[in-house]
Amino acid sequence: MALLSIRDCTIQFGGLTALNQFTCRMRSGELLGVIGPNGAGKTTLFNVLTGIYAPTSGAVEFENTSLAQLKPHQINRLGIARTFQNIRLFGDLTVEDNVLLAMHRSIQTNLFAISLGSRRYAREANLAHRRARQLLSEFRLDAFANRPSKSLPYGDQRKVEIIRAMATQPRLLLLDEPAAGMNATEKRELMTFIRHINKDYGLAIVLIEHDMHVVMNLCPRIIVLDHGQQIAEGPPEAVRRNPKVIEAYLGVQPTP
Amino acid sequence: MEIFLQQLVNGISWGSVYALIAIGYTMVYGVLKLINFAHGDVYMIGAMTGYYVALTLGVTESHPLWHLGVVILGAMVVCALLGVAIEKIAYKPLRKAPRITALITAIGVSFFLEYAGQLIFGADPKFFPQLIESRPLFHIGDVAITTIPAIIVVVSLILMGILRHIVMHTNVGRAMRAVAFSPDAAQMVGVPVDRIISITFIIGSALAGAAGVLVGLNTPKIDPLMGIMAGLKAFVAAVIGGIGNVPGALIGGFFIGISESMVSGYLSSTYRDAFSFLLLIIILLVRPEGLLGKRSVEKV
Amino acid sequence: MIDPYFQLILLRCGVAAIMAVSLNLINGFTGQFSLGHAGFMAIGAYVSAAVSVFLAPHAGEFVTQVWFLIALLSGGIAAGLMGLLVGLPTLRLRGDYLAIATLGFAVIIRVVILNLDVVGGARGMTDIPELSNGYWIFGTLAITVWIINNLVYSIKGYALTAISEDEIATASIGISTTKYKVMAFVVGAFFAGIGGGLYAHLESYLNTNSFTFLRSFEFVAMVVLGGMGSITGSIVAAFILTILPEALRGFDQYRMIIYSLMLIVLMLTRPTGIFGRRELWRWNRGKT
Repeated sequence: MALLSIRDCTIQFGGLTALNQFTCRMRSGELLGVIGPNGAGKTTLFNVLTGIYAPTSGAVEFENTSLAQLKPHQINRLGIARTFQNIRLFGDLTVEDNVLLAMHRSIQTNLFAISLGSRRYAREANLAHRRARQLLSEFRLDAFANRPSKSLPYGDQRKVEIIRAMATQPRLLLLDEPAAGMNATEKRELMTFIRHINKDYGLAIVLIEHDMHVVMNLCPRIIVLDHGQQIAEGPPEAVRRNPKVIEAYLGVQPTP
Repeated sequence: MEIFLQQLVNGISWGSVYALIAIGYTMVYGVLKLINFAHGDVYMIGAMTGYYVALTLGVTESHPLWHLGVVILGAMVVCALLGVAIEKIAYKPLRKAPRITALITAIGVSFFLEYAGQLIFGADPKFFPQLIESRPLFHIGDVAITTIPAIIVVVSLILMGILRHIVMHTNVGRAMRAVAFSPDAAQMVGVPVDRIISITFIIGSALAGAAGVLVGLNTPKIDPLMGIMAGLKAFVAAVIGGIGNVPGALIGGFFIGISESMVSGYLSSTYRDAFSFLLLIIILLVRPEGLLGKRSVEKV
Repeated sequence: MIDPYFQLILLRCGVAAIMAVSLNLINGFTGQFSLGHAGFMAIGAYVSAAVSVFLAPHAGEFVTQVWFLIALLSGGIAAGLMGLLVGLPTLRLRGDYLAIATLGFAVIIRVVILNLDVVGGARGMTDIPELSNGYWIFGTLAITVWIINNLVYSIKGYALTAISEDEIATASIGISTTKYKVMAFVVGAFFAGIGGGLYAHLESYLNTNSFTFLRSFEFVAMVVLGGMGSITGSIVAAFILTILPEALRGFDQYRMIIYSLMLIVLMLTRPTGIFGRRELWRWNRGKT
């Protein structure tokens, strides 16, 4: 059974076709790279998968459930989580609260009881706090737990955003340019981090990335988009040598 | 039928006043994305200025037509200065601040003008001098079209025509449209954004000043709080027409003016204010971008 | 014994604080700019006054107090239902549009009450029993603060702050933003209704002129002055902004001018308000 199946997905904004007849299947636990020049339709693909845009035509199924008509929060509850190209943390909330909020479904007590000071909520909250701390310490971010997330260094904010997405317990994680703006050390750390969540959590990941080094090293399979079209697909080596890909990047050839 | 025509004439003259005020809202919203809550009070200052200019010209039995011109011009100049002062003092420092902060400041400025107005002009209503003698011009059926509504509509249309020309066919107008589209991009291609914003306030406020005088002709009772409701409704007109859209403000103004007159004529004038807002809410829910506005897609 | 005039001002401060804290839930914590709080207050005021005047039996002290509670709750529930009615369609709107739509609803509510002869119409409603005293008002304020505090600083309640910052990101972690926005709106309206009921039974006279746009704005000013997203701030600001005009009475003509100038200067110099997003009782949280 495919985890994710996209069939003939097209999305148009007025006259612009952002994604054209895109088809793709993904196994659970897979780590898939999506690359392509700016404006190729990569982020649009994520926006379709998370219900922000409805496709003009075509079908998207996640674990055999159609995503059509589903709102973004419903799609997340099905098991798809994402990060954003421009980090979208809740800056005024602390790092821990960002993660706790993503765990809101583990709180069974309803809002009415919570507002009346329910004991059950207090117990559930305790447990959630412990799990959030655990998650943060696993990625060595526990020192920042009580700081407003906007006060963190850029690279750490990216990590917190990924952890926040993971805290919703997805089976598919969509990462939108996680390495953007990171230095070499941070990128190396990030790669370890992504490998870790892919292997040890068994989480399928789609990775949009401009940094060829990161993508080629992480992803066994890569899809190349250009002007909304899929122009290549395959293992890193094949994609790297594909003349269409080289042409699309026009001289910005991947460094070996 | 007679009531209908009478209310229609009434509605059109109120509508053109709403439209003049609404243009100021819509233009400022276009460039700053700010509801300039003080705009209705600028209109009040226009009426007050007109009152004092008219008094200076002398109280006579019948004013020559040029008196009206001087009164309107005086009100427009004072309001233009006031508008640009408000922009420089209160809004400019907040251009990068959250929009709610700017909105609160705008309401603060509005209060300030209202209460300062009460202090300076007195809280009691004043009676606008009769600059134009009211006499019938022609008849449609049994309804006489008199000079005052005719002049209101004509003056409004002339002013809006001039504005239309400025926005569509001059460099200043092009720059305004550029700033409305994207202030940053406009800045980058060398548009003097600060100056364009000031000019926007000058034009919008001058039109509100003219509207103040025109209302004085029609409903001579003017007071320092007259701008609150008129301003809100002009804003409603701007939203109904499609905020940021000048022809939209015109259509919205007439829409509100006429429908209000009809409600007053056929139902009861107590429901008038509620009706405008009911229209607003329905339009916001059915077509949030307004009658002429364009729908925008949020970028993620 | 406290001077009765001062006592009345203090009670008004309490009512204003209930109004400000409940509005902060909507405007501050959830970031949904409502300019219609006076509308919900009016509904609470008139409904509770109507219950007291038309329904409450004339019996002993205990029965009177119980019926006062019933009246207040009726006012709160009526306002909450109206909040649901207003919130469901309008909360799709953003920022300024929501502000003007809620303002519009408040105008409509006022005009409808103005045309209801049962509650006095334009003449106003008189002879409402003066039941609001210090216990009722400050007891209600305490309960309001306790409930809203429990709500906004709970794990699920953080969704409200999240919505005020970024709705798309909030939805991306599985939170129905609509549900939470409507919830905040209804709870805020409910407490505004309770505040209105207390107001009615404090002043013993109601007139729709007390519930205009200006009144809504007073509450907004309190929320902003105190800090959007600070319960402490709303309470402090409610006291300041209720006492200030009274204190300035000596300068009668100038007081509202001073008031508006202070508002402008404050926005230009300290746009986050006195407390920002902090609370007296959680002072060190979120500090760098």
